[in-house]
Amino acid sequence: MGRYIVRRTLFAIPTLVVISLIIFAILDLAPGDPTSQLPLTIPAEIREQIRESLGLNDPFLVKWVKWMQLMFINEPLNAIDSIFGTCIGDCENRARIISWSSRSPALDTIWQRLPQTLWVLGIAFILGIVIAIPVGVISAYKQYSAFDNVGTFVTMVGYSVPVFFTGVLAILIFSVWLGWFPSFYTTTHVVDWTSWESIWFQIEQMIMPITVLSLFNAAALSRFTRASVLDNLNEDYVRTARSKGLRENKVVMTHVMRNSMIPVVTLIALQVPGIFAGAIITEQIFRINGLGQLLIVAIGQSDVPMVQTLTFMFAFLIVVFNLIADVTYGIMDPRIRYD
Amino acid sequence: MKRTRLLALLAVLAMLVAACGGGDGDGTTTTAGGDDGGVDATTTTSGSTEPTDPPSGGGAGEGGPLLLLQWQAPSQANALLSTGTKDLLASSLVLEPLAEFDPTGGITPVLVDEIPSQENGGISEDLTQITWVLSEGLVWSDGSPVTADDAVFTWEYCSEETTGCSTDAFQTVVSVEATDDRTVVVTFDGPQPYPFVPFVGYTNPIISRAQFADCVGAAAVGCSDQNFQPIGTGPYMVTELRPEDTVLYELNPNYRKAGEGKPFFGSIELKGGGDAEASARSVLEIGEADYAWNLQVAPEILGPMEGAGNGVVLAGFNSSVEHLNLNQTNPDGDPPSDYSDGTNPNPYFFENEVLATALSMAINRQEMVDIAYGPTGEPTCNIWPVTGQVSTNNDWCLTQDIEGANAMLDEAGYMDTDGDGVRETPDGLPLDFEVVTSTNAVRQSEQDLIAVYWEQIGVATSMRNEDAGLFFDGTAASDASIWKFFTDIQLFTNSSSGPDPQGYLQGWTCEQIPESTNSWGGGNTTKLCNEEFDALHTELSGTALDDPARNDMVIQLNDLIVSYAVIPLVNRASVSAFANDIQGVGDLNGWDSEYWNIEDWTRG
Repeated sequence: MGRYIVRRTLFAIPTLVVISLIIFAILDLAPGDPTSQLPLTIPAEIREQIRESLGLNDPFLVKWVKWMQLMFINEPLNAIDSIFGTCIGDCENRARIISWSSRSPALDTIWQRLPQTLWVLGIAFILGIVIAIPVGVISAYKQYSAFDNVGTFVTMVGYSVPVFFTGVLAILIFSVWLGWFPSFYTTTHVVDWTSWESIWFQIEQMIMPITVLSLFNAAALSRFTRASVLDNLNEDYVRTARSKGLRENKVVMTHVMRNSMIPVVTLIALQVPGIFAGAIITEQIFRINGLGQLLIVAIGQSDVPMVQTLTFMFAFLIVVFNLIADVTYGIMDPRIRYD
Repeated sequence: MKRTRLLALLAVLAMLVAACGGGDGDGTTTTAGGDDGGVDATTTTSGSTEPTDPPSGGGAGEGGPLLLLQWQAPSQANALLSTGTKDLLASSLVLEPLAEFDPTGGITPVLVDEIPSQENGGISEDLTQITWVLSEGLVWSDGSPVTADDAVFTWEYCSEETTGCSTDAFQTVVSVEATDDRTVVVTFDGPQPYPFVPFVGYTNPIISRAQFADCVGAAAVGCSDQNFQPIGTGPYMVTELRPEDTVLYELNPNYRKAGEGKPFFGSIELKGGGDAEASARSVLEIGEADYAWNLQVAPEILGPMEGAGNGVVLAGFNSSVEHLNLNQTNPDGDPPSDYSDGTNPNPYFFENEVLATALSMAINRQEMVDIAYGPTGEPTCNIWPVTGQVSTNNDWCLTQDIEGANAMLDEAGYMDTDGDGVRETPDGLPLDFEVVTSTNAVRQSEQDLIAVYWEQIGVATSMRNEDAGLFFDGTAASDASIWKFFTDIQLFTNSSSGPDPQGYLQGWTCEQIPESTNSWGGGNTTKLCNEEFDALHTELSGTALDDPARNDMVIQLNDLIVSYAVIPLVNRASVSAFANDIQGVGDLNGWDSEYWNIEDWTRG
């Protein structure tokens, strides 16, 4: 297993390099220019100068190498400096990836947005799992019962009805008609854990998007769990366990679950990067202003450095979590031998 | 047995779901880009909240928090580096100019005591110099004094072109000098009858030399702290700015009107994100915010929202006119749509009054307004629609006249010789035009209407739309831009950056034609070149402000433009919503920041 991990990690590096090259190339070819926002009275020579200063006229490979240096050397150094309070090298004047629309470092803005993305989407993800697995297991165990049918129906609806419909419907019911919850998310609210009001405010503004999202997430996962448990319930070892006199509870929770969870955990690991890419539509509807919204706004404003940084981050997370999923699979299932 | 039960259950639940099928928006939430080829400045005539006197003698800031929704979130708070109206608005709460425009387009002093004029000696005899005298005792929010040198620095900041300053107000300025601590002398390169451009309006605030000294030129990019939290003289200071998200402000303790108990609100949260419809809903239906900006929402959605009774929608009219550009150059020429000193005229539209008039006559502007704008738009026949200087010579266009248009075209020889329903020019070219605009639900519905109207007079059209970012991209990179104009007809909104039409009308002179030789830098998108127009505009530039002939000249210039080069359609207002309990707003200001009098706003 150890060799497998090392080999996969080493293979991930050229993968990421190629991904960054492709992302960079596509965005470089796209129309969109930081000088397009400037007044037209600025003569062409000055626009050229500005483009030069932003490094836009260098040959493609030079631009890419410069970006790689910023992304893999400067930015991590900057992160280390700000977390640990150190000053490595020329920490004052270190060049960073600058967003064209806000003219501030792109990663600062991304870092600022992580809390709301993680709060809302992370909780929705976990809640989705917490709902989906029991529902899936019980549905499989009591196959074709009323619970199973209702569960099937609800998950089918939850999966088919798009989030922009359920989200707006939730706002209509709970914000407009009932006035219970706010329809937008205040990102600057700092939760004071000693104050119940402060905590409740945070819960209030999260309830609707979390519910909407977790239902959506739970749908696919519960179907998958159900299928996986069904596969295992009909196995011989389950019959053996029962005939040995084990309690039903133990049969299901210990024996069946362990085997059923293997593919489910793999699926969950693969979905984690989705938290960060964000449920873009949900973020837009509830004005959560997380990473997904940032990506959309940056694309609309042709803010190429921000888009490059964000898409590369998502690609990186996908590669990493792919590896984690494979390794987890190998750990959970002793039959799997990678080496 | 089990299967039939399952089917029955499914059938029942399916019926339930169908019964509560909600209507979604009719796809009319508009996503127009922030700038439609011009600053989205608007002024108002219709509707206002009742202005009331602010509480007298009360302490500033006792009103608590104010929540403003700007669905296009600001990226930073320095108006001089703005990438759109969103940044200008965020900046206007902190940075102030020497004078600002009020809702009628007049000028009111901000950091000065009186507006310079020839009578008080503030404007020189030959109209080349204007002298501003700062009020006494002005301080920045950190307590340091505001001096004339800061105005000089602002000019230096913008004159250094590599800074990327987003205002072109200093284009005609030769020098800005501080003759003493409070006196600023601006010298132009020639007589300027209307000198109220530099340092006037929310696009041209002054910044502090002490703060921005290291941020000139290429260094401007690295100054995030300064750009996010500029030090200003305005009623508020930025405490936190999250780009594309939220800006938090608290009141400026050194604000010059603090003694009058202003501003009333102690803090402001300027929240961005979502779209116009969601912002409108928050203020009008839910009542969870106090103000929503730029509500480009279809009238059939906005109307009922306002009917909920939590707030009021204000419209601010100004010079914004949605119009059709008739290309005066030939897009099939070589190079395409190139003026080429007049050797590449458009075979249909070049100085063709008859065709332009017929096309204009066929359009039912009132219907267009009713469908797409509601109370936020007015039909117009003029490219300069501002009251007091508006032409009345073109009002025939307000009534749709299909028969008259058909008769005109028949008489002029535009017959349908091959019976396909499409007329041809006397030379045999079919009247089949490509009309392009930005991707935006309102604009697409306008295109649909125009296609129907013109079909009735034998004109065929193919309607296209381009992404707003490309359509309004003024660099050489985008082939879809309005400045390249590689099609027959364009549709978009133009507006001036100030209430005086002189600079705006210059945008239709010959030297302003965008071509590949000048990197498409020029405002004359329709590529019209008329010697009479240019001569008259030069005359206008030398005519004093109080000369009544000035208005006549503006009207004449307007009439020239709309006679064959431009078909005006709708005078658009900017639209914002206020919660019912916000008082003191007055009319919505279309010519300057909508927050121009925010220190007077109270909650009552």
